[in-house]
Amino acid sequence: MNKTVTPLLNAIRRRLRVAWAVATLQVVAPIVAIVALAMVVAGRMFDLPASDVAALWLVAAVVVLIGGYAVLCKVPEMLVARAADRGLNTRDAFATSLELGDHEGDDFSQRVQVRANELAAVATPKDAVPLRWRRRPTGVAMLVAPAAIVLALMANPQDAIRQEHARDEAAIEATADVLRSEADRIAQQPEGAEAAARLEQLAADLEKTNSLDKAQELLDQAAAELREQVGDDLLAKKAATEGLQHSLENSPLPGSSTDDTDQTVQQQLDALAAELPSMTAAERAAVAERLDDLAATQEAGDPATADALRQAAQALREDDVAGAQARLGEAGQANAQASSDAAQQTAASDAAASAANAGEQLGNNGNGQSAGQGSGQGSGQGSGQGSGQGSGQGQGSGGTGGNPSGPVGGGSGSPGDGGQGGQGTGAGHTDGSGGPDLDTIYDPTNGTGGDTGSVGGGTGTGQGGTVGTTNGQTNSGSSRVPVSDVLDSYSRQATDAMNNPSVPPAIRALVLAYFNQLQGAK
Amino acid sequence: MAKLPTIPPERYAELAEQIEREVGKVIVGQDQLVRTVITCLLAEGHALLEGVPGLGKTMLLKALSQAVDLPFSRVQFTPDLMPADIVGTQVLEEDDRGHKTFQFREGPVFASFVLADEVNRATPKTQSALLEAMQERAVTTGGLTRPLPRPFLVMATQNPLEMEGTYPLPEAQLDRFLLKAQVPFPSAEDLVTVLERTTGTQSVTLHSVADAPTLLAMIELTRQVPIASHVLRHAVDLVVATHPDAPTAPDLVRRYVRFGASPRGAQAMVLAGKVTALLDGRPNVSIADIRQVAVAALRHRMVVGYEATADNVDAAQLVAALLDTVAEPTAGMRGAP
Repeated sequence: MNKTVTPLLNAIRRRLRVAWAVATLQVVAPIVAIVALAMVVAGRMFDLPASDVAALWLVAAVVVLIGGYAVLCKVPEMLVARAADRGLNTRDAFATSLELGDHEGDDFSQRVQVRANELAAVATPKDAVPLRWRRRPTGVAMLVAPAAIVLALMANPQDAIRQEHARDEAAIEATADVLRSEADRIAQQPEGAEAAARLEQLAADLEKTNSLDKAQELLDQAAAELREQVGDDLLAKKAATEGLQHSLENSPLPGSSTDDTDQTVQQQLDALAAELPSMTAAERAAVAERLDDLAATQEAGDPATADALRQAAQALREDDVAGAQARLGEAGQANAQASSDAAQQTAASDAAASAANAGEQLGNNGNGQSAGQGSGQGSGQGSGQGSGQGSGQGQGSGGTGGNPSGPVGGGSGSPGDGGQGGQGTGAGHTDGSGGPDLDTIYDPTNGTGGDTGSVGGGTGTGQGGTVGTTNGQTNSGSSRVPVSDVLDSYSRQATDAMNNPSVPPAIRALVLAYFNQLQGAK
Repeated sequence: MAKLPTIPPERYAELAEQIEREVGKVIVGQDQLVRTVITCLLAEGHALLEGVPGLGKTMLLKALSQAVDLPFSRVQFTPDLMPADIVGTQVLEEDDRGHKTFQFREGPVFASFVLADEVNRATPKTQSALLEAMQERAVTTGGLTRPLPRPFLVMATQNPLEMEGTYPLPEAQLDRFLLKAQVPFPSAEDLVTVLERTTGTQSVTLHSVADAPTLLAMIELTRQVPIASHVLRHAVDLVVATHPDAPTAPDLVRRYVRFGASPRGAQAMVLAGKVTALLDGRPNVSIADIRQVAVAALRHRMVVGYEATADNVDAAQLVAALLDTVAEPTAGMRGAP
């Protein structure tokens, strides 16, 4: 092999690599183009965020692989020679020349070499290995590839869906955050640890899902579970226990410390029991009378305490000091138990409301409503300035006349922004003007005590509202909340109360008519 | 044996061309046939010609013998032809002193060019005698082996029309012929030329352009032509594909061929390919050379079944199908020619 043939074969080898790459590309290109198009189309039909990039990578990988193999693959010299013979139609001159070698003394070998050199001198690699373009696969690739590119450049409808999913996840996460803050708040309430833990668990469960429906289901389920923990007599029990507490704060029992205004009912009763032996008969009679009055206030909400108080009063009338002391102790324990139950159920109720509010907010997000609703529900925030008796009965809150409540802190929602809870500023004044107020109603759980902050919360929708919380005014008195929020509960309470024999039959009809009227207004 | 002259490859082609030209003076329009016979001569093989009478087969060999100045004999094969009529016989002769001895009288096979006309009309015994001489290039009689002259070319003919009372050559004996050629009927123009040359007073004089040593040197040179391994492999592939049970056999072969070609078929293609390359002025055999002679080398070596006769499929069609199926090998790389 001399200097003429070898360079030609080397050039033909390079040409063969190019020809192989071109031929392989023509085989692979239609398949790759179709697969890439399918990926781009799939990215527009399904939530496959990386489909376009994957298609691009596929094409790039195929090109790199083919190019790399073309450069690195071994091309034997005999293969090159045979390709040259076929391409140049040299009747196997190069292959025979390569196989025979240059054997001196062998006439035919030398003649073969000479002929190969002569042929190589006038040959070109381009003539030896022409690049062939197959029409069909090339045409398919040329049709499909631009289609894939155009489609990839067009707007992807899945982007909106993906954004929606992102919004859903953000909404779920925001809801979980809200639930955690609610849990923190409820944990600070008396007996609120269990309800707070349930909300924490709910927040954790929410973060594990990215489905709005699933999140809604979890919220509804949690709200239902928490509501089951709230007894039907919660309001009555709460009114009774807190009313007794306020009553004894305003008018402490004999024997109570005048310095410590924060004494509990049980402490005052214990102090009274301790004071009984030193009292005169008149004082005991007065105490018995007071105990009867207090028992009357506990009859509906805390019958155990009421019975114990009544028995204590009876024992005092019978001059049974020891018996009275024992009954007073029982009354204190009963009151403490009732207070604990009320606090626990109140926390559960708050947690259920939080879960329900979060579910409603999430539902609004899921519906894509952008208009802020800012309902300001739960505004009952207001502490009414109320009766001054602090009984929590709210009798002095203006009743139904006029518009006793100031504008409650309705949350104002703006599109996309959560409404912010307003601050309750119930005035509690009555001016006698206007008709019956059927929109709001007295809620003894709000505004009955300064240390019980009522929850105000505007809820907004759209981009995610926040539940604002405000503490109610610390003044005792009544408060008003939307009728719709409490009507059902009140109706049940009223029905239960009417079954109590202590309520006169004539009054029962009045109460029933009152709630029927409200039900109709609702 | 006298030293043979040195014939360079260029001279080889020139001599062959001169021989063809001389033969062409009397044989008109049968260039391919002439080339086939000369190929057999230079490859030191024998030719089997098939054609109707009157197409110049005898004239062809006679002209060839004149062109190379070698003896020519013609044997008309008939059913009563005996082997001794071909190879020769022992004759009792009396010398001057009255002693009688058996002397061997050489038969027509002892010529350099033997025309076995209508070889299929002789009995197998007689055919066998000729074919043995063809193969062994010697005749053994009376316990004595007598070599035949070199070069030695037998050109046998068969008449495809009158098959009644003939003894078709068995496959083993057909295999002894290097190539088989069909003698086509000349075209009208060629026939006019033939008539002009043969019906007038003008006689054609042929000149001798070569002699026996020259031809032997050319034969020796033929065998020296190199052939690449992939070309040999292609010849083998072609022969293998003639067998109906070969995976590469085309459908026609599977359907109509009973037995494929023997290794002599590959040998015939290679030798004929070498002659073809030299006649083309090339020092090496190419795949194209092999494929060019494939039909002549394989057509009589494939044993076709009766289905082929019934469907009017001849061996040449089968070899053509073979060449289509066993294509010229590619370089073995995608994109390569």
